[in-house]
Amino acid sequence: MKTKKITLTFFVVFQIFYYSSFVAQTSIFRMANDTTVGTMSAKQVANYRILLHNDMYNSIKVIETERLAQVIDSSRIFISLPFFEDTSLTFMAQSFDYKNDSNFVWVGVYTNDSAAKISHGAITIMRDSGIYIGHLNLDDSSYELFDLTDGIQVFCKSKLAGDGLCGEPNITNNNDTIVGSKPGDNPCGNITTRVLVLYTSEATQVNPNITGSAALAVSQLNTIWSNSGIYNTVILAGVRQLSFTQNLANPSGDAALLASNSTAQALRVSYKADMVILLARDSYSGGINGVVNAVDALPSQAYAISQVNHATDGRFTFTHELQHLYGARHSVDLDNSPVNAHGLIFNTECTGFFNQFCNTRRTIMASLPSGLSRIEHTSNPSVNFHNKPTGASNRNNANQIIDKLVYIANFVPDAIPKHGWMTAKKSNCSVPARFNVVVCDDPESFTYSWYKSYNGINWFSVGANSSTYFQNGKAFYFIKCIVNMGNNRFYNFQLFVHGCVFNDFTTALPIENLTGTTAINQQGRSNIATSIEPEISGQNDMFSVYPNPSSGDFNVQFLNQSSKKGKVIIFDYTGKQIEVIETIELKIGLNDFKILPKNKLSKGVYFIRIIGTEKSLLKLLVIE
Amino acid sequence: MKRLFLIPVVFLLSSCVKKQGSFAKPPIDSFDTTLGRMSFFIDGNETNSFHVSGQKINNKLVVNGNKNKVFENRLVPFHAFTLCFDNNSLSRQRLFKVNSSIVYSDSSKGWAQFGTMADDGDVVCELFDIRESDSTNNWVQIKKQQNDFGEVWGNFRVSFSKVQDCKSKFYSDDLVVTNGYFHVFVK
Repeated sequence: MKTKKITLTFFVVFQIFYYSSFVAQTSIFRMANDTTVGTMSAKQVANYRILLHNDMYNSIKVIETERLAQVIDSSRIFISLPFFEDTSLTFMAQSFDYKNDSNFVWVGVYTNDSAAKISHGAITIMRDSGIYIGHLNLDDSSYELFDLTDGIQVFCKSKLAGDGLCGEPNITNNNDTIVGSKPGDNPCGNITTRVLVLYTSEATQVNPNITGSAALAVSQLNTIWSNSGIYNTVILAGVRQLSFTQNLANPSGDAALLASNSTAQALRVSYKADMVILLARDSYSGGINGVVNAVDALPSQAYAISQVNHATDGRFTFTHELQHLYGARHSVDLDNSPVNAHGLIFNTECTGFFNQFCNTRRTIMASLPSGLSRIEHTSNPSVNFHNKPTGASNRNNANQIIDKLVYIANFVPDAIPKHGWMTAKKSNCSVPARFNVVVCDDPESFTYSWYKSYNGINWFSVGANSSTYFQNGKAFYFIKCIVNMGNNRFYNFQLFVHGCVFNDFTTALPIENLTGTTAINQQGRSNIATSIEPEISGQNDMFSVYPNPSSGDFNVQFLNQSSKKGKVIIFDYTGKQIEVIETIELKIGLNDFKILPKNKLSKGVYFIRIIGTEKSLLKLLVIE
Repeated sequence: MKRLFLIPVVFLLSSCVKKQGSFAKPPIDSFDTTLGRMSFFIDGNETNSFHVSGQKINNKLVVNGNKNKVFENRLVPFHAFTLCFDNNSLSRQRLFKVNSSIVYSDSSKGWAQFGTMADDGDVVCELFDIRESDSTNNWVQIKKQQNDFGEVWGNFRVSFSKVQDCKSKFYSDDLVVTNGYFHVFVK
């Protein structure tokens, strides 16, 4: 068993402390020391094996205390990743919602450190009812924090779809073979979809560990996709409770009521989630364990409901319902359109004189009588399970899902535009150099802003197309491109150089010592999919400040339910009030204001407070 | 010779083996009036095979009428009609488009909704909301009750507009539901 090859030879020590002038110094991590698989409980080992079985991670490390992280100063933490990246990083708090040691959300962004070869990063650590969950993204690398329960956590380095260099899987599924596309075949890399998991308070009565179930459900979905030749991922955008009363006799009505629920809609925007699924306590009349608003959903219909316990059992209702949103269909349907997008029921391992004794296998979208289970595959004729194809020409839900990935991933664009950077330092150019940024799929929906600089500090706009030319004889010359609306997508920077020598070329993925003479085509890939995590904080979850960091002007965006007027206060890190912008007319719903401080804000950290809404909102702003 | 005899025997035996995925005879889509009853006309055509159930949520009475289909040995609701209104009044109550944020609260107005399902019953097909421009014709009235609203009889009339469609649709875009009648036992 390859699982046995995964040995925990290293123990990562991970501890984060946080304090600020607003929150008393608090240790937000208290983890076990000296933990090995051999000392874990059966429950912890079971959870650990689920992670191994998911085959999503290059390596999994058990977390220990005392060494990895330390406070630098208020609002900054220092994290060392010796066993993953051999580097140390500093993160600046972007938001922190602290209720107590068992319930908090800490979101930080990487602060540039010349010593580290990291361009950008973000970290989200949340704890819900004592259960940890978190993400860490560093350029092209992605890590997840999982809770094995009872005080033991693991820190996993994710495999990225499209990354063909991630090494051997930890575990293989018996006789599974992938005949079709390989991870490296997807030139656009990983297209990620964000799903927000909501749950009713009643659901916690039958399953108290909702956060764990949500993480498991998303992992299962990604495993099923990976098994089925769908090399893209769904990200858990957040887990939040929703007040929702089930009407068990009317699943269609409940699905519609969820989709039109203003709180669910606001949470979806706040968490920048493309899809929403509600974990509910009960199944509906007729044994319906889940319901979805539409097959091949419109953005407004991307809401589903799943009975919480069936979400992750052998029915895989969570995955089943979400795949409906991508257009995946059951074994049969009334309109039979599209004809190829259906589940498959097939037999394997037949024995007997007439091969009449078989194991009946049902793919994820196949109809499923009660008491039976599905296999962790969605139909795909190019993928085998126990030496039998899991699909057919008219049974290819995987193809249908792949077709809809970009469409779904763009349902909720980021309020804060994600952007990619490319800098280059050139000399001796006698002819124009052409720089090109390539966004996979539908490049017309993106905007491009090119800038040049002589010193790397003062930037001048030079173009707004996907490629641009530079003519300058300066010995040191910097360029960068900001790609807006790069929602949940990889994009590639490509550099075409003619007649120039570039001494340095840097993207999110550093490429060192690039020297070109006549023609060079180099590319770096920036994982913008997960570079900025959603701002998750209880009272502030409807409030964002962007761009952040900012050069001076910035926007505030927040949800207002009833107030007509408000004001914005800017104060610096010491608490000194810098500016008050009085009497802002508010509208009910989403407000978005551009703030133009009268006096230019110097570089540093500020706090933006909105007063006048139902709650006083507070956010950190970095001026650089 | 023995082998020739064995072949038909094995064949007969194997034909008796129940294949995985086959099921017992499904239950009859019975209409048990002892559980209550709902009937109404849709665009002049009577429909009365709706299974009815009622429940009290806060001060609201929620009446569900389902037209079920047998699927995999289960009765799955494929047409679902819901009325929600104050359960303590015998006067005629106006029905409005549902406010999704306060569905069953004491302060919410009465509402009605109608939907159909597709696929195996887990995908919404058509969805209808009340057509508020036809305000005076959207109403429900409890005509009789006993056991402190534990058993309720009533009438209703509703105009619906389709807000979501699907390929396997059953109904036209605008529905007028008349001669509505229900008799329900409230849980």
